[in-house]
Order: sequence, then C-alpha cells, then structure tokens
Amino acid sequence: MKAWRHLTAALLGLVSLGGCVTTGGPGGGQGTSQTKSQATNPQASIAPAAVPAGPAPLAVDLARTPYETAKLRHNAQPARATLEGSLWMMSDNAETTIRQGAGIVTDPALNAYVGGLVCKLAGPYCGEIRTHIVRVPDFNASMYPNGAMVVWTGLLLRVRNEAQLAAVLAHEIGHYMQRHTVQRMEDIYTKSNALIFVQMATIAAGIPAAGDLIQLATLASVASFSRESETEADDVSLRLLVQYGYDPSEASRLWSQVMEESAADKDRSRRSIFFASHPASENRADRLARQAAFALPQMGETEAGRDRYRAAIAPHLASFVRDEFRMRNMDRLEVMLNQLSREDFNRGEINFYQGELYRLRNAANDNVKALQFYDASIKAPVHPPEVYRSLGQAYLRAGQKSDANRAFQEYLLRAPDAADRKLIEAMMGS
Amino acid sequence: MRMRLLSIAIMAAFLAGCLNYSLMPPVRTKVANNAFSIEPGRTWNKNAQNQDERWTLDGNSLQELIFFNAVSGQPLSSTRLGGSAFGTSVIVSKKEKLPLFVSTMTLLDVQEFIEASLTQLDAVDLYVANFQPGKFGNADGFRFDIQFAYKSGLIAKGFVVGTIAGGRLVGMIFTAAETYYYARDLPEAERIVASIEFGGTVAAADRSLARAPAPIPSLAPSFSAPPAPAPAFAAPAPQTVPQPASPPAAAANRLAYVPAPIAAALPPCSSLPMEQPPGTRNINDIAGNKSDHLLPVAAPRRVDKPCVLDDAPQGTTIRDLQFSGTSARPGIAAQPVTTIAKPGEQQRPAFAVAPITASPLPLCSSLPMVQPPGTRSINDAVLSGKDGALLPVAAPVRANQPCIPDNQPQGTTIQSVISPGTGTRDTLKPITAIAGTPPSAPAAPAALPPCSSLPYEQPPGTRNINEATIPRTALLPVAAPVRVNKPCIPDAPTQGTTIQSVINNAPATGGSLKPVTAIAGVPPIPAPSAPAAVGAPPSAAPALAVVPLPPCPAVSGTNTIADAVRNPRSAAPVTIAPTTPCTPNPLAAQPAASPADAKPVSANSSNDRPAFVVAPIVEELPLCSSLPMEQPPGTRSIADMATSKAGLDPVAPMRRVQKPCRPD
Repeated sequence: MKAWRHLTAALLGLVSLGGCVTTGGPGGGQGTSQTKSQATNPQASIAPAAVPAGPAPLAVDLARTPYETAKLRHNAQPARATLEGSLWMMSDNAETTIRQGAGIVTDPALNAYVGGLVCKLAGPYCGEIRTHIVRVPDFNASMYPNGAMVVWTGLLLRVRNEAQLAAVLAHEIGHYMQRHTVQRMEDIYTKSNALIFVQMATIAAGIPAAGDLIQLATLASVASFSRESETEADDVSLRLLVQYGYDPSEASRLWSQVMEESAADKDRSRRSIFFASHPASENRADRLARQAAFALPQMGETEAGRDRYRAAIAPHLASFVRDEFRMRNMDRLEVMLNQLSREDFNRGEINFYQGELYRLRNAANDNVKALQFYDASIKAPVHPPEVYRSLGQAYLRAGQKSDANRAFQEYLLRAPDAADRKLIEAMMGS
Repeated sequence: MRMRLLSIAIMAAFLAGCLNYSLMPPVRTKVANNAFSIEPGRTWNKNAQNQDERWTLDGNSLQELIFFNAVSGQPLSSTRLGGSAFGTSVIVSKKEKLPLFVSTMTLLDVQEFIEASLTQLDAVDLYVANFQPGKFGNADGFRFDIQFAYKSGLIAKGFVVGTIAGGRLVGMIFTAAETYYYARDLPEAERIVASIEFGGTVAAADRSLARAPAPIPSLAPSFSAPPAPAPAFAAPAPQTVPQPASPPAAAANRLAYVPAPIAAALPPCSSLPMEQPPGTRNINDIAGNKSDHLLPVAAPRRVDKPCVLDDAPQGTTIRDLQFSGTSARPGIAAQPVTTIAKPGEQQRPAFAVAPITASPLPLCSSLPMVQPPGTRSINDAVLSGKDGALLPVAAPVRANQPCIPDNQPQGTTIQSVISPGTGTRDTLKPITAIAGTPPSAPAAPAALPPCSSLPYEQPPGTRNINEATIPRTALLPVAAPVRVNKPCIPDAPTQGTTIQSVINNAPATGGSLKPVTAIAGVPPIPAPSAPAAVGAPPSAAPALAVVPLPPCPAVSGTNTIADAVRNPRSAAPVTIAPTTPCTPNPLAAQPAASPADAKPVSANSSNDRPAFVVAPIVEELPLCSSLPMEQPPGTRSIADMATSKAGLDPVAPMRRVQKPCRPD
C-alpha cells in the first residue's frame, strides 16, 4: 500500500505540478483578515474618506520586501529523500518535457523580455527561476516548485502593459518564494486516495495545446492552491509592484478584463480553467483594488510600462491571435478583440482580426460586419496584406464577384510571394 | 487489495481502447468510405474507427495516411493525428470544437478548414505551403504541403490532396516524421496519390491498357468510367516536394509500356535516405522481433536508387562508383543509368547535367536522440504510454541520418565509423562531396569577465545569516557570501596581468607579473627575444633589453580573492593590489638607474637575478578546466543517501580542486 502512495505522489508531481493554475486566487478568504487589518492599521480607517467612490483600502505590510519574508532560502536544494526533494525531481522531469515540447516559444527577444522582467521581480531569486513561454491560447501562468515558470502566450495577449504582466509574474514568484506547491502537495499526499489517482492518470503529461483544455480544467481542480496561499501570493505581488514602481491598480484591472472575457464563454468546461481555483473571483478583483487603493498614496511616481510592453509583443500579435482563432471559441474571442481594439494599438491589424472573427463565425449578419471591419482595417495606415484576401472571400460570399477579384488582385500585388498565390489565381479565373 | 483491483480495472479500461489494425496488401483497395480507390506499393496497416480510416507502416506518429470524406456539417476527421498520448482519447470529443465542412466552401475556405481541423487534431505549429490547384484522380482538386509538430515535439511533414465533388470533401493526408520516415515514405505516398481512381475496383487485365481519361469527375458509386492512364500528381513541381523522390519511376513501373523519361534532375546521392539492408539488423536493435536476434548486424546504407553522386557528373549512379572501387573517377563521363533498370525494363537514359549543390551534413553528435520504434524508454513508467507497458525497454539511439562524424576528417560517412575495418569497400569509401564545407575555424577564446562582475555565492556548508528560520539549515555555520571562484580579470591591475599574479601575489619571483597578453586581448607587450635559461651562455646580452619594473608599494591589511575563497569567514575586505605591474621582489625593488645598469644573466648570477628574466609561470600551471573535481570537505554529494555515514553532512555540489591554475 505504501508503494501505491508513492506512485500516487509521483503521478501527481509529474503531471500536475506545472499545471497549478495560479493566476488568481479567491478573495473569499480575506473576510476576517480584512476587518483585523482595518482595525489595526490607522491608515486603513482613514482611507475610505480619502477615496470615497472607490473600495475601502486593504492594508498590506509594505515596510518589508517579500524577499525578507520568503520561506524558501536562496539556491535551496532539498535532500532527495524528502518529499520536497522528490517534487523537485519530478518538476525537473516535467520541465524537460515542456522545454522539448512543440509548444515552446523560442524567440530570443520575447524570452529576454519576459525572462528579464521575471528576473527583476525575483530579485535575489533571479538566478533560480527559469521562464518558459508556451504557445497555449489561454490565460495562465504557472510555477513549479523547482523554479520553472511557465507562461502561456494567451496570457501575453490578454495583458495590456508591463504592470499587468508584472502583477501576474510576481504572484507566481510569490508562490515560489513561499513554497506553496510543497505545502499543497504535502496536503494532497496525506489525503491521497484512489479518486485522485484516477483523476491524475487521465491527465496527459506534455504540452497543453488547443485540445487539452478540458484536462487542464480537471487538473486545476486538483492542483489549485488553497485560498490562503492565493491571498499570500497576491500580497507578495502587490509588494513587488510597489517596490518596482508599477501601478498596483493594474492588477485588479487585468482581473476585470479576464472576467469580462470569461463571462462571454459559453463553454462551462473551459470556464472552469479560470474558476476551478478561483470560486470567488469578483471578491478577488475587489480585494486587489482595495490593496491598490491602500498602496497608491504611499508610492511616488508609478508607471504602467505600456509602450515597452507593446513593443515586445507586437511582432507576435499575429501568431498569438491565430492560435486563438484555432480554438474557435468565437464568443469569447469577440470580447477579447473588442478589448484589444479599445487600446488604440495596431488598429489596422486588430480590425482585420475582428473581420476574420465575423467571417469565420458566419452567423446571421456576420458577413456585413466582417466587411465593415475589413474596410476599417484598410483605412488604417498600416494593415496586413491578408486583409485583401479575406475581403475577397467576404465579397465572394456576398456574391460580388468583381469586387472579390479586385480584392484578390490587390492581395497578390501586396503579397507577391504568397503561399496560396496559385490558388487565388485559380479562384479568380473560375 | 482493493486498490490493486481498481488499478487492474483501470488498466483494462485503457487497454480496451487499443486500436485494431488490419493488413492491407498492395492491391487496389477502396478507401474513404468507398469514395475512391488506391493501389499501394507496400503492405500497410489499416485502422478504422469512428468512420475515420488511417493507414500506417510503422506507427501512426511515424507515418500516416488519413483518408477523409466529409459531407456538409461533418468534421474532416475526429481522430487525433499520430494516435494519442496516454490518457487522451484518440477520438476528439464533441466538446472540443472541430470545425465543420460546408459544401459551399471555396478553395480558400477549404484551406482554412483543413488548417483549423489539423490544429484541433493536435498539430502544433502548423505551416502550410505551396497551395495549388491540381488533379485528384481525374477530378479538379487541390494540393498543399504541411509541416507541424506533435505535442511531444516530433516534427512531421506531409501533404494534403483532395477535391470537392458532389457536395463532399474527399481526399488524403500524408504525414511522416521529418526525420528519416518522410524521405523514405514520400515515394510510396506519391505512388498512392498517382493511383487514385474514382469508381470501383478495376480488373487487373484492364490496367495494362491505355484509355481516354474520363471527362467529368464524379463521385457517384455507379461511376464506371475507366481511369486515366497517367498518374495525376506524377510530375509535381519541384518546389512542391522538397525531398527528392522519383514518383514517375514508381508510376512507370506500374505502367511498364510508358516510356517515361527519368525526371530531368536526379536527386543527389547524399540526399537519399538510409535503409537497413534486408536480412540484417541494426546494431541498436536488440529488443525487436525475436527472430531479429539471429540476423547479422550491419550498418544502414543508402537506398539503392538512381542518383547523382555529388562529386560526379549527372548520369552516374551510386552503384557505378561502388562497383568501380574508387571514389573519384575523374574521367567519368555522363553515362546512362543502366545498373538500376531491371531486366526487361526499358533502359532510360538520363541526360541532365545540372550541377547539384550538396547541403552540408550535420555533425553526428548534433543529431537528436530518438527512441527506436517498438521500444520504450526506461523512464516511461508503466502508465506513461498507451502501449508502453508492453513494449521492451531500449536505450534511445541517435537518429539514423546521414551525418559527419565529429572527430573524423570531412569526407567520411557514419558508416565508415560504425563499421571501421569490417565494412565492405563502399562503407569505408569517402564520399567527399558530402562534406561540402570546410571545417569552421575554432572560435576565438572568450574574454574573461572582470572579477568584480562575478556573482556572489554562499560558500558550501554554510548558511546566510538571514536564513535562520529553516530548520534544515539552522545547524550550518553562518558565513558571508563570497564571489564565485571562476577565472576572471582583476579590475584594478592593468591589462596583461593574470589572476594568478594577483591571487598568489608571488613574493619571490617577478615572473608572476609576466604579461599574459592573450588573456586580456590587448596587443602583446614587446617581450625579451628569448627567456634566458639556466645554463645559457653568459654572453646572452640581448636579454637585457627590458626596463625593470618599479617596486610595488607596501600593502598590508588586505585580503585577496583567493584568501576570501579559502576562508569565507574572514571579514577583511578583498583588496586588489598592486594597481600597476611592479616587482614585489625586495631584491629587485632596488631602483635600477637605467637599463644600462642591468646585469647580464648567467648561471652564476642566481643571487641577484633580475626579476624580469624567469621561466614563464603561466605556461607551467595546469589548465583550470583540467583540475579534478572534489567534494568540498564537510559536505556530501546529493547522491549520497542518508543511510551512509555522510548522511549528516549538508549537501553541496562538487567543485574543482582549489589550486593555482591557468584560465582556459
């Protein structure tokens, strides 16, 4: 029976450690701590008057850096015979699988940007955390106990500026510094039973791509952190944002964006990716906002780092959005693209994607909407040549053959080396 | 006990999902729900479930033919590419949004549809290229190339052919692992494409007769028009098929009376795939078919096909050279291919003389490791693969590809290394054209970092003063972090000094200050023409043409980096002195009035030898990288289990023996 326990723990570690869905945490657990901190912190009791319209501030200990209170020492290397040591070993294996998998993003510039930000936030722990960017079109980042951080490209697409990205990354670093995974696994280890074994056995190790989200949802329900851990990681995140001068209110803004998009998702099984570990997310956004309201008056100048973030992400926008399209979750994508289009960022490109959304969804009246967005994209100074190809397809669908041919001609003129040139020429001829 | 029963039940449930395969002999066969028929050249394994039909030779992720036949409202296929990983269903569930075919789709829509479908069927990083209209059987269709990766990272290549007819999307997808299998199986796939016919089974006797092609494509089951004689995709444009292949030859074999000339450009011999000679086994195959154990081991060889030797004129075959016994026959003329043609087959001359540029082969050591087919890694746990539990364990081997052995001269092949001395002439024969490029020059040694840029580390066996709360480390002595012990250039001294000169602070010999210009990367300081050796003739006067260095200023109360490394508990700051080249030897510290005052070097003058004439110390020191590794005292390796006596010591990584050494 003891062997079974070990096997169970091994499976848990192998398939789930990296999947700990940690981008958020429930806010439900802070009820008592909130009243306590308001009672003990004089600033907190004053703040509601200072910010009458906003939420009541929530005090966080900003006097000390998170590095000082971390539970994990630098360059820790747990003994192999311990549970923590075996978790590290399994994490190493899982990390190798991720590194060798097909979904890994190898672009040096993007890796340098995200990895650099992780390094900056991790401070003295910089050398211990390795960041891997994986092509999965969904909002998530996860942290292995051995210092491997996995960031999904869907997160990078949904984050609007460096402060928001920093908020998520710092949250993950918080899990690492506080050894949350180990705590969680110790907890599971003591409660392990056949049910968990069956659940974990059905989760494929490897790179989560488009088709794996249902499994990831199952995994999230097993491997989520406790509410206390999430709250603690949020506190670390806020303290790091304050320390490096990022606008702390971006954290709650990001959470609101993701919630808006998630609400549009009709697919319950996919929604659970977000909410399996975050049952009270509204509370969480509220908690983050109140923390920011507490921290902001104590900070000097803050920055969001929007332009820096856009410059880093712009070369990858097309491939990230293409991955989203392949998920074919058009309702959710519609919300996300609407959010992006409000950002006044690469308008010609975003309008093109919006047109693509309606053309591919092809519900009633969608073709007209698609044509409108293609038109808007073409009016923008910079737009991809593919917009003319899609315009031609939309015209064909509308029965305007001559307009379609003109659009195709324009496409071939702008993309003379297009891979589908012969195909387009054949369509124009027929 | 209950747990064990449960696990057996779970295993049984998984095994029940194993697929059933049936053999498909190389005869004309209806596929894709009888939409069309094909005639393979080999025996394939067919797997059909859930209306999806898939063929493979060695395993679905190694090569796969997917036949599809979708009506409006149906997905292209609902079976994952390449079988499935453990735990994920082979069949894509309805929750995962597979795109659906609509009969009014244009060709562009179809391209998008297939692209989205393949992505949902687990193709990662999918790229499509060379989309073009073409013939499918005798119908107007399309064809494009694809490349993608399985989730495991295995890269696959292939193509899609198809057509829309009668409101249906019918066609075939060929995928194969980019390594080895794509090149090997592409000709077979092309042959199958060339054999596509709509309608029913064709009588064998009819096939030898040329008939007029059917004018109208149709998918109706009653369609009985004769097939077109020429293969539809027999002559794809060169850019369509990146790997060399000779589909026309395969097609011509089938229709022996067609005097099809060999395609103008034969592939370079170095691009032909490798194969295991029949009746032999690979040296890595130890656990395959039982009868394989009895087969003799032999090295893989290139497939025996018409090709152009990379350094020989077009028209010669690899056999010509193998049989002739020498690699370079300078006078060899473009001669017709005769050795390959089978008896009774029409001899087909090849006339092209286009120069072929061979692409440089990769280094053998750079080839990826792969698990031999039909085996599993020892790391794959019982539950890690669908069939993994039943497969024999075998070590991974390097991918079986043409490559250049690392330590061999350019021009040798992997065969010549695998079977040195034992091989036949051809295995040992250099194939000079493979190398193509001259070996690259060794990279210049990297400049050492400044010592002040080296990161700090906690000395092994100690703990940081801030880390008192972790019970595991509470017993370790507190010590301050020190800089990591790596070769570096001291910041303050001028370029041209070595770290040894500072670390050792050599009191007795001025030689420690000898400039080592190569490390610093600055132009060499003019040195004495030759170091005077002991026993050199006293008349070696030219050795004096050096200005003696000024004496070093007295330095006290400082520590060196080396001191700090050896004694981490020392609180004294690390000070690097002196800041300029100088002579710490008190004997030499006496100011020399002028160069003319320097005395000649001789064996007799050892008492007052000038500081600047010594044997170079740096060259005598061992290379730092050659120093052996040791476990720091008072620590244990992580591999030492707690049962050993050393189990009470803290774990620390191995380090190099700390001796003076020469940075690499």
